[in-house]
Amino acid sequence: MNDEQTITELRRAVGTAVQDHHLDPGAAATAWSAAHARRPRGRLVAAVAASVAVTAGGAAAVATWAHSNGSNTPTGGGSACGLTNAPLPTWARGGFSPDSYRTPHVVGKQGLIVAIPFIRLRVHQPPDAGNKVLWVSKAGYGPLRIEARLEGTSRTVVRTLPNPGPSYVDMPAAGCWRMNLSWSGRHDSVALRYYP
Amino acid sequence: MSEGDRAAFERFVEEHGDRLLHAAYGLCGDWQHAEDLVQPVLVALARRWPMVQTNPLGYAYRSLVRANIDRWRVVRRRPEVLLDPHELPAHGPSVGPAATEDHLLVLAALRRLPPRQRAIVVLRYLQDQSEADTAAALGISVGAVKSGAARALARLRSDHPSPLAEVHRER
Repeated sequence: MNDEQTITELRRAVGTAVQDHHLDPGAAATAWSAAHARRPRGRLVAAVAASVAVTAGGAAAVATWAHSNGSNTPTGGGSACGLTNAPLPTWARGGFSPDSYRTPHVVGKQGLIVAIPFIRLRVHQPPDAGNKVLWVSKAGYGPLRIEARLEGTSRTVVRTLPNPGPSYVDMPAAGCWRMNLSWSGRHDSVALRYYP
Repeated sequence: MSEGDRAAFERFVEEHGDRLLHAAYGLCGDWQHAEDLVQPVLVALARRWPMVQTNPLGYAYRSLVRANIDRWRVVRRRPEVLLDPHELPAHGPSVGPAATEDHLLVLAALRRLPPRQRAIVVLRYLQDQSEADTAAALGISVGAVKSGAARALARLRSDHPSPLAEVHRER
């Protein structure tokens, strides 16, 4: 196969993949508003919400970003709402076999709690699946309060679990959810992405 | 900025918005990440509109490529792995119902290219940019675009279980 044939096949494949994906008609207006929103003075963080809806065969995805007044450029490159497959902290390994220490997870910013999703988190799960998340705290027990905010918006939801442990945590919309966690006098925060 | 600036910006996005989204998808191979790439670029474009309006597409491409490389560097340092035991391993990003297995293999091969080679392929052949415009977007020489493109195409054909060669043989 020569270069021309390779390019033709590439175009065909990508063309099929993108044909049903479109930028939301309101994206321009949203971006303009976000770009020219008035920012507060001082060290306050200015959160600018810019949302784009992409429709593809009925599925919708929402992407947002936040802009800090300490930076002249948008964060770009994604919302840092991912998991890691680094080894679990030693205090979070209870119940895991050594070959599972790299199970995908996110450690709280304060290092006091770990969230371990058992499944790709979705707004709409199949009937036989659920948004199971294992919460492992370094210390402390008792009710775990989750105050979650959809990144780039003011939309918040509150969940309360009996204690850090296995749970089903559903969110009403797709996107990156910033979660403030409180339990037994302790506080930490994580971000978890929910897919449509 | 004037209402005229705003109207011009909105016309630009209406005309090229899909193209930018598709370019972002080609660069990163995932629709979620593609949206995350495009949004800040649109906002930056809007903020700088008077300065970039002579070539907003070039500015947008440069920004997308830079943002994708920045993202790739972060991911490489701290790999993001999504656990999804109830789904088949992803060949790559989600595709529409018309996708065939051949298409999925081609997309997977594209995703496996190094970021710079992928960017060259996306801009030159999928976005139909000239060698000069591709070079400008990537901040490299035209010669580097040519050699990068040649290497990328060769790699697409030979690096993997020859998805493109197989596609050709079956036709």
